[in-house]
Amino acid sequence: MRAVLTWLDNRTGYRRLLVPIGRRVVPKGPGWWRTTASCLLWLLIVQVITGGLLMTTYSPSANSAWASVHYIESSAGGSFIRGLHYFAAQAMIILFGIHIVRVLLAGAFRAPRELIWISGLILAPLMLLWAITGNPLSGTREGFAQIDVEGHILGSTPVVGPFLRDLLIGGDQPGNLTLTHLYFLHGVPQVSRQGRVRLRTGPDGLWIERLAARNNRQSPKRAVLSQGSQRPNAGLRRVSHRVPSESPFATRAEPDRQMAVGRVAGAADETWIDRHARRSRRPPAASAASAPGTVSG
Amino acid sequence: LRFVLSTVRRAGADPLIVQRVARLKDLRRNEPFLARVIGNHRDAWLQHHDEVQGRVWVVRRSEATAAPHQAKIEAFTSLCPHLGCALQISPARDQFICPCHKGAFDLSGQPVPSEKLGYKNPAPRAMDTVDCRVVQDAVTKEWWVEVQYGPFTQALGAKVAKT
Repeated sequence: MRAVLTWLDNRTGYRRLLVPIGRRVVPKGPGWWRTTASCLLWLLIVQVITGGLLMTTYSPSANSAWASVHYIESSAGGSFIRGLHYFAAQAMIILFGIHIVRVLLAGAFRAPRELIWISGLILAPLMLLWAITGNPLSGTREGFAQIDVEGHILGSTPVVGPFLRDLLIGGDQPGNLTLTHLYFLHGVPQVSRQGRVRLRTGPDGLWIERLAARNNRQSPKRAVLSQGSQRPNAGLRRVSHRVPSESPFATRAEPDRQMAVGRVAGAADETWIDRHARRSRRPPAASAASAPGTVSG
Repeated sequence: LRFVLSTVRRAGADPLIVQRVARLKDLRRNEPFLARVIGNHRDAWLQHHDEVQGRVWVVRRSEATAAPHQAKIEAFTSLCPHLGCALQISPARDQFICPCHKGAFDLSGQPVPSEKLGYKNPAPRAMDTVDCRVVQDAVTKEWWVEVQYGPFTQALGAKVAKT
């Protein structure tokens, strides 16, 4: 595996893209409360994977939806996967509540971390959409009754309501078209969500990172990091594997694993935006001593 | 775009179903009787034949002694005018109750006032009546209630047929 990844790295240099995340500093050190977004992200990944597996067997038609779900449920593996999909969905809603409260209490909606709040704002209606479109897919009476009522709620919107209802339901009453429409709507938002996740945590998102680095070039704290100096930092465990910046990983055996951990952690609290100097109102003592300028920002 | 909108154009394509739903002799005065309406329904690429398309609550208003052709009958769709759930009869059999949002109607189909319920009745209008008449079977000479069944738009203050 290592050989394959090295081969890939030699041709793409992807590891370089991961350096900023691997080196990221959580200002007050890691903690469980900072993992809410990480857990959300991984639950989402579980949803995507289990959802994709369910798609291999599920049939979105009024005649066969229930039967296909029953078929899935009748095998141990299918039941397990559908169970994961079902309970991870519930867990996401709960975690989302915890996450939003955490972000709110931490004031993480303030500059420069508005994106954390904004991404939550995008996630909220998406989760609503997933819940509404996902439930009737089981093809149960309850599911049909639910989408019937929700269709009528949509239909009671002034002016555009009846049109939108007909577009969603595809007829007088929920049927084949309803299920296929819901199936489509249930799956498609993944694309936008995936795009957003990548923007935030993936290689594509690193332009934000670089932008922040450029803006912070004068920040002593940032400079210290990029030089890989021996600045003592008791609370900042994640930088302990710092390696020379010229050849970040070539010289050590562990970095790949550390990279992976860093990558996960990077997805975790999304606090890479934290590195902006303006945020550090209470910088670590060492940093404050060497760079009083950061305090005022 | 025309492809996507085709689902909208097809909406409401089912015609009214004219059907005998209940024998007159089975109806007691002011005792609602739930009758099924059987019909055909096109569900996108599938045509369903002779399946339940809806239900009607049939209520006889006249005395049993009245002549059959003069019997007064009322029929309501079983769909709640609020959001379309199926209306049930209350345990005391004196009200129609919607299980979804607790809409309540008296036996004449009028919404029960919120003050009487103790909560806000979500019903936007009275229950939707459907046209009905009493007919005699040519062969058996039995008297039947015939209804013209069709759905109405939910959540509006006025009764508007879905066409």
